[in-house]
Amino acid sequence: MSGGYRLASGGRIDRSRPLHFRMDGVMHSGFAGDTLASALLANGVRVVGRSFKLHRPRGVMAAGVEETNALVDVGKGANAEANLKATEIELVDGLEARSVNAWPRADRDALGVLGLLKPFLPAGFYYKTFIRPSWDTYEGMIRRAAGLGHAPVGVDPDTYEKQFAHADVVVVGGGIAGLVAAWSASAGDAQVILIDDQPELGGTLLGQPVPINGDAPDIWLSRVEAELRARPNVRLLTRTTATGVYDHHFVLACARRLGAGPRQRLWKIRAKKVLLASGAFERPLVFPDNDRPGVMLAGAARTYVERYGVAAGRSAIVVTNNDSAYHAAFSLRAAGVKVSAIADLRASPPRHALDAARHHDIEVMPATAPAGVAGRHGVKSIKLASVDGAGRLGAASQPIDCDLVCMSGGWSPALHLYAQAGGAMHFDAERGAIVPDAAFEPVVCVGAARGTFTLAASIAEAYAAGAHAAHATGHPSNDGFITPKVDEWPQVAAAPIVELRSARSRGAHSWVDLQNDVTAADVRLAARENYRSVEHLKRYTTLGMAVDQGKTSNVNAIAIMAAATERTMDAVGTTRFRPPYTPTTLGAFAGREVGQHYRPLRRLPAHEAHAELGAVIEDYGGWLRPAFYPKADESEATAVTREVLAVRGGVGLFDGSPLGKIEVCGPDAAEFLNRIYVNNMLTLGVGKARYGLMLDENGIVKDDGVLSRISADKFLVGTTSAGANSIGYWLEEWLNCEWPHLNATIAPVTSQWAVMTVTGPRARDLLRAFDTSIDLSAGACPHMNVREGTFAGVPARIHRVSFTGELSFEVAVPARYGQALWREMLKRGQAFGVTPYGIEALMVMRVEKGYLHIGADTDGTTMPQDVGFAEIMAKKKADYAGKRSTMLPVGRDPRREFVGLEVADGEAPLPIGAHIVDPSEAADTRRTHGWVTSTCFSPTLERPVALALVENGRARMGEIVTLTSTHGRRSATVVGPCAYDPNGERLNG
Amino acid sequence: MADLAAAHVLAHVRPIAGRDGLALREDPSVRIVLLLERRDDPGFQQRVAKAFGVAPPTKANTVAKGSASLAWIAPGQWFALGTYVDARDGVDVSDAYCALRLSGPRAAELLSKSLPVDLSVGAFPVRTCVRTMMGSIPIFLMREADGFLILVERSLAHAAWTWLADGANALSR
Repeated sequence: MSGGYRLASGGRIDRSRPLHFRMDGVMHSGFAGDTLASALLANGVRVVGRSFKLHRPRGVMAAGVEETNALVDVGKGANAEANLKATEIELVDGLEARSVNAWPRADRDALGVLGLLKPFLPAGFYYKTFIRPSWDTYEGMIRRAAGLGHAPVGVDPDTYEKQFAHADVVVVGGGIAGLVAAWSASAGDAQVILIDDQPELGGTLLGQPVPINGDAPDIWLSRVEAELRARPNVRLLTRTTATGVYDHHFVLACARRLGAGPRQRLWKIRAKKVLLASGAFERPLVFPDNDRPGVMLAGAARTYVERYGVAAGRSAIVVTNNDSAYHAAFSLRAAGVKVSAIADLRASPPRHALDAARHHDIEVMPATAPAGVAGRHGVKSIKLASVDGAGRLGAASQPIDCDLVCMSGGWSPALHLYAQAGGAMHFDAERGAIVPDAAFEPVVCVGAARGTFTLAASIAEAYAAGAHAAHATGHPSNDGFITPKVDEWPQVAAAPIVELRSARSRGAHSWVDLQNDVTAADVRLAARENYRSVEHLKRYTTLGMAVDQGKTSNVNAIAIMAAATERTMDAVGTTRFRPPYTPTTLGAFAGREVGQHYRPLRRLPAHEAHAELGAVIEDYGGWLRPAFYPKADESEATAVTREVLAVRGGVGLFDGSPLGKIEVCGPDAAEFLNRIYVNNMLTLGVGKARYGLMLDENGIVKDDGVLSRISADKFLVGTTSAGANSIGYWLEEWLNCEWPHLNATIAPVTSQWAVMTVTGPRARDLLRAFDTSIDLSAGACPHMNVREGTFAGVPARIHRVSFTGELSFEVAVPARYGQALWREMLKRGQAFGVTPYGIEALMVMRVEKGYLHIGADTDGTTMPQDVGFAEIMAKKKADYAGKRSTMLPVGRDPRREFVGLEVADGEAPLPIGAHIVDPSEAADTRRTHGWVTSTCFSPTLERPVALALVENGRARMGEIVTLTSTHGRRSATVVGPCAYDPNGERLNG
Repeated sequence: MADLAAAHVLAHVRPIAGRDGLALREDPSVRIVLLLERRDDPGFQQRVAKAFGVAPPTKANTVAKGSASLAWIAPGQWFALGTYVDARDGVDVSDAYCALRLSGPRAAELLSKSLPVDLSVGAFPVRTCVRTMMGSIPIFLMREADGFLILVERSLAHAAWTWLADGANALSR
């Protein structure tokens, strides 16, 4: 018999609540309080996964977030989750888990044979080998063989939440240091949030207990927890992982939930102080075949005994370079596991350790290290050898039977969040760890995270840090904390971090990053090939780039690189840490902002009236607007044609409410707008309207619209619908940052007014069906005029402007009356055959008229001289935004100019985006002379019409050009943009 | 003669009342006037004080209460809010916004699902206000004695309502 089993008693599991689960289809059982990893070990499962590249069989190595081997996929279909660490999965009834990167299952993987190829697959193998004919040839095959879990299929059915929070002090980590820090920080009235990733508080003490006040630590822990829970100024977030610390003490944390409700909640916490009590990770030892299933971190083996009531094996050997693993040996022995020996790399282990081992009747072998492990699918035996301080191994012993190797290479503070925030670190030889530099305000480390490895010192440090944080945020406290008495060994130095290596151990591999199959030899190869920078090392070997982000491998790799290049650890340095600390579900970042909430769409004041008419409503620049109003089973084309002809022949009604409206007032309003627009706005008379074009600083056409002068010092700026908000900000910026001396104010009023456009030869007839104080006769209110008054009994502004080419009135009323006005206009307009029309018909009519549509007929290179503004620009002497840029050499010929195209081959409308080319140019160097920007079939003219940007277009009127697109080759004649009523007679009715 | 009926923005939704300590409803009675101070207008403060019985607050994000609430929204810009507000000194934007009233012990918690602002009473007491984003929706938020007043652009009122109602559902899950 070999492998793990459930102990008869002990652990924090609830033995009264058995649970059943499947791993790779095989039914197993466990208890509430188990993790998937502890339950698998309890069921004797040794191989739980395969490595990324070589498909080596791998077993559980750790008991927490640092796990490198035991990755599984959980769930099915859309509910599946990939690459979860078995050590982090709380066991629930019915759990379905699958090994990753293994087929058909972890212990009988078809590609396991790849493991034999390691001698031929060193770091950089792919870069060096799969070059000819090209990487593409091999990529598919390699990607299928390598890789980990499978992404879920389908739409994620789970829901996610976000929550903002604010705190004086955030404490990350619910171990003893975190609890004490939170206690002292919250003793006054400081708001404190404590974040811990486990279901219960206590941290390392849960699995590696140390007597406190002479008792099991539970008693003291539960007292502290109860006190914290009773404090109204403390929020305890368990099952919550702090994944990132960003500028200004911004902490991101992801909470997971068992059972009903949102699956995860993303906490976005703005703190004033951040205390990091994230503890430390135990390091593996680097020795030949250290990746065999059954080679485990000593602290993890102890945790399985103490916390989960599981023995990870039946016969153990402990190998260590420090004191901590002795306690693992004692726990295993006490649980009834045979512990053959403790091999200690140190030549003279400290007296307290030797005495304790003797007391537990366990042999200690000083200056001894592992030299090799046998057992492909699980440890069968280990060879030991003498070792010197540099890790050189002597002759190996005979194999010693065992099925569990507990190793400890020392402890690495979990400094990820500290480093993310920008904290600097250095190697402390005495502590055998990379520790934080003394002072770094954004994140203050306490306890093991600071390299303080005794509980007594951690408690004192955490207490002081908590009190200091409270004080610094204006919440002094003095709570009479009684420092507990801890029964522990003093901190003594560990043996140096070295690769354990024998001149004779050829063929065996010493693994550093198990998940990505990186060995000590790969690190040395990187050094030989001059990838000496730690960042190069990472990318060349992929070390630390797996799901575990190198939590157990980075420090060992730095030590091996330091030795290989004869540098210090500090000279090698560490790679940059980036969030998230552990993989975080994308759903948590999306939160509820999915589906209809992904991008909130704006509704028209008359939205319901449009919907009642059966309008096809679509998203136009963030607004839900009617595209067209089909009758019965009309197609889009039929409906649009009908709507266009109704406007041209009678009267149409259009909801133009989204058009941007900004009131600019003040004595300098005219001067201000004159500096914004290409057009001269000083000469605009009261009651008049003028089409205007505005540019950005680069002289590029930015927006257009009709601007009107309501009174001497009050203008109404019209913008495109899409520009309604951004142009408001644009005006604010110019006024407040560039011309603060101008006396003007800006008020965005887009949503204040509903605008109904009445257009067509019978437009005035329809308006006359309403009471209005405004004289709308042609003489009193000609084209391009604005009037204020009342209409249908409510305040109104009526613009006589046109985007259809017909007689047009835009009637604006306060938005609350918009829906009623729309309904009433349709009702009273029936006598004149009024037809509601949508955006699509409007677009056809404006193409017929050759009216510019910013963003469709212009792009990020279009200047005003390209769209027929050269004359206006020449006449305007005053400066305006973007003017100088239009005069740069790039603004001169040859430029693509806005023109019309008339189909010359008698066929269908030109395809949008078709390029104008010169067929006489050689095919391989042929360039574009421009392209079609708008195109449609004109129901009015009964022929296709198109608009285009064409190089030197205005000088090429009458020229027949060739167009090409994926639809083939066409020919067209360059004409003016306006195909319908070029003299504008219909506007002036 | 008014031929046209005024429509409430959210006439089509049912208010949320008393569920999980939350109440949310549209308040169509709120009138909103945007007050803009020009650069050389020394009489502005006095004119406003005379019209509303209180001077416009100069401290950012605070509210002064007279015949209307004067809420600071930007340097030289205030909302005058109330059931009757004289629009002579500003721009009537009552129709540009939909006013929502959110109250109950869990109101701040609901808002904190999507508002980055610290809404604790200490940091955001009665008579403070802020313009911020509620998820992807820009809003104006003011704390009053009996809860929060939220102004959202009229066109986004439906989106804001469904967002808050959905969040309220999530609260009870």
